Amino acid sequence: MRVVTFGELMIRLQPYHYERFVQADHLEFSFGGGEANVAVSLANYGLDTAYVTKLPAHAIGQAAVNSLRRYGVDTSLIVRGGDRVGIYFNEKGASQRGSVCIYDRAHSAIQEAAAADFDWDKIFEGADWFHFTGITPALGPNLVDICREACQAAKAKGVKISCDLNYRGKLWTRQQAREAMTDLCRYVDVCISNEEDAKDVFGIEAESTDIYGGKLNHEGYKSVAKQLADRFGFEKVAITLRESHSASDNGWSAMLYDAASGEYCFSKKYELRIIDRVGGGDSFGGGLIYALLTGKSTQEAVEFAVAASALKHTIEGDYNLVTLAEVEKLAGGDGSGRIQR
Amino acid sequence: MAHSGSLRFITIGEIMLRLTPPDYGKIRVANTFEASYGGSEANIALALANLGIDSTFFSVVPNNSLGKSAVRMLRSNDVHCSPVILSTPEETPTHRLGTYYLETGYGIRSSKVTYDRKHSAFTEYDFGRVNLGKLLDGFDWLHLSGITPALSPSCAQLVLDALETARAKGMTVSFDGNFRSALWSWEAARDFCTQCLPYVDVLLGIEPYHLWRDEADHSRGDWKDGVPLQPSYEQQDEIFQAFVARYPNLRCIARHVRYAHSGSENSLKAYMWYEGHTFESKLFTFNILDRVGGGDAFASGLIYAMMKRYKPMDMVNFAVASSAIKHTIHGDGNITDDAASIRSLMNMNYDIKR
Repeated sequence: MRVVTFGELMIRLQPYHYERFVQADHLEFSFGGGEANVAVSLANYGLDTAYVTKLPAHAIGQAAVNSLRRYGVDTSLIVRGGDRVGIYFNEKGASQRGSVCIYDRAHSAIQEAAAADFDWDKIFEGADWFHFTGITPALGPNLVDICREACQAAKAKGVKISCDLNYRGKLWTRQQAREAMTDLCRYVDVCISNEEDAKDVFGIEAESTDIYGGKLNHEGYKSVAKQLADRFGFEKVAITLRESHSASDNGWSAMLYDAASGEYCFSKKYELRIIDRVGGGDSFGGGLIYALLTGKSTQEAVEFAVAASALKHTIEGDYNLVTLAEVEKLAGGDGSGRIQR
Repeated sequence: MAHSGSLRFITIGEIMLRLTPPDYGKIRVANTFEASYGGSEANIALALANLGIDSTFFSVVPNNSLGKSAVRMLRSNDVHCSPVILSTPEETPTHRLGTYYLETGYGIRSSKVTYDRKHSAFTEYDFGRVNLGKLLDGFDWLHLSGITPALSPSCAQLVLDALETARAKGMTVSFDGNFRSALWSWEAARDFCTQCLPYVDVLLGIEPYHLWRDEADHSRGDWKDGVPLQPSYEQQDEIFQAFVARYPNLRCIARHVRYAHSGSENSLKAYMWYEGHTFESKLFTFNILDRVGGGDAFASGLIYAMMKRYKPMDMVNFAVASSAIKHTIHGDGNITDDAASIRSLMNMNYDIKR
């Protein structure tokens, strides 16, 4: 089974030891980006996974490509050219101090890419699944067009499409997001969202839920999922449910709605002690795509995806570097954290 | 803190985030960068402040933790940064601090710089809003480089306006051509920097400038045509004479000459024209820890020696010694904080001081 994901890969620069930026004289150098993170997850689970983007030909672009190759992602479809690799500076929070993210991603190679850079018919040869997120069309009108072309080519070949709404207020306005995502979601089969994204992008709200108060309202999430599925004809809608107790401790669970059967499946809830939450949502997406591609039931799929994501929160960096066996074990109920010998 | 000497120095330019893999590493396999901050003019401000000169830096950085970190690094080195503008996203839409990646060479492998400085806050800022008369008020010495005009039209205008203002105020002006091929063409650089020459008192480096043998007939070539990178005393003297004949405002011209035996061992010397004579420094040979900022340390050494009214031979030797010692210091700036150690080096005294 072959999955293709498309988006922006950024340099991630992060001070060590929870330092603030103004203290740091060393920065950890790694890479990350929503769709690339999903690709690494899937490659780790053993699927044939290709990542598509545009990166400069220089050493920094090469380092970005290599970071994916290292984990077995097929990088042969990456277009090379342009000037810069976008950067995000991540100052990790702890306890009551939230993380701070400084984006320096404008004018990156992918942001300045043209439709002609990508031959989607060729890219989707032999593919079964295409994944992108709302971050990619947020990069500019050219990327909205490129995403649409990708979706159309995927649809024509019978490739399933998943999209994580992932609203980024620093990249576009709610109005721009609503317009573009309303257009693109016509092609999408599986939608991943959280309640903030559904509200920010489509104005769809769960009644009586306070996202900052950390209280969950099951009926509200069902209503959000159903409204999304009804509006866009999604086959499945996944809603991730983060309860932010502090920057270090979150509750984490999800719900998967299957439109055909009308089934709403809630996962078990994990109380997480966070090592790194960046890429947490992406690891959920990766887990979900794997579960759906391998024929798991709705309940099994959401348990697998949440377990994968719970483990990601314990791993440094954007990428979810866990094995299939580790996820299966946790999803199967062993969350003891005992040493495996 | 009281500064020795009364001359007040100011420089204008871009400061960038420098990202370097530790231990001479390659970017492709790095997982850590040393993060430091530098830029030609900032390096000079820092070096002079470390030597006790009253030194001020003007620039624009984005008002975020990265811009503030750059300013704090300079402040920690006693550089006055009160004129620095922390810009808003409205003033500088891309709102970024210019960045450059440096792979440090070793032995036969050269260092490699990859710039990521386009669209920086400094290049996007509208300097028409800066009151240069007020900015330069009370300063004796202005230093500029040929990097700034390469960055944007607004930056180029800033350089011309600053030169004009400094002349009106009777300030001493030093200028380092600092040609950067990644930023503009050789021809564009020569065209622009030649316009600056009538304003300059102290010229560092002899390129990129037009120095036509015949202003009316360019086909007769440039005085510098065919002169090797490592010229003889006579060749250099002839060029200095041509410069001062055309630009009698030039009080001093200095250029260093590098002999790169490898990426890790170089020799440096310098020629300097001053008070009607060409002087040649001693030749310094040294191992290189970090050569970025070597030219800036030469400039700061010369400026310091002039401010302190050193004798001509001491001026040029101090400048080369300052550059040589910078090559042994990690980071962009010459943080040497006692002039005596540079003077000691200048006299080729390498013994441990006890």
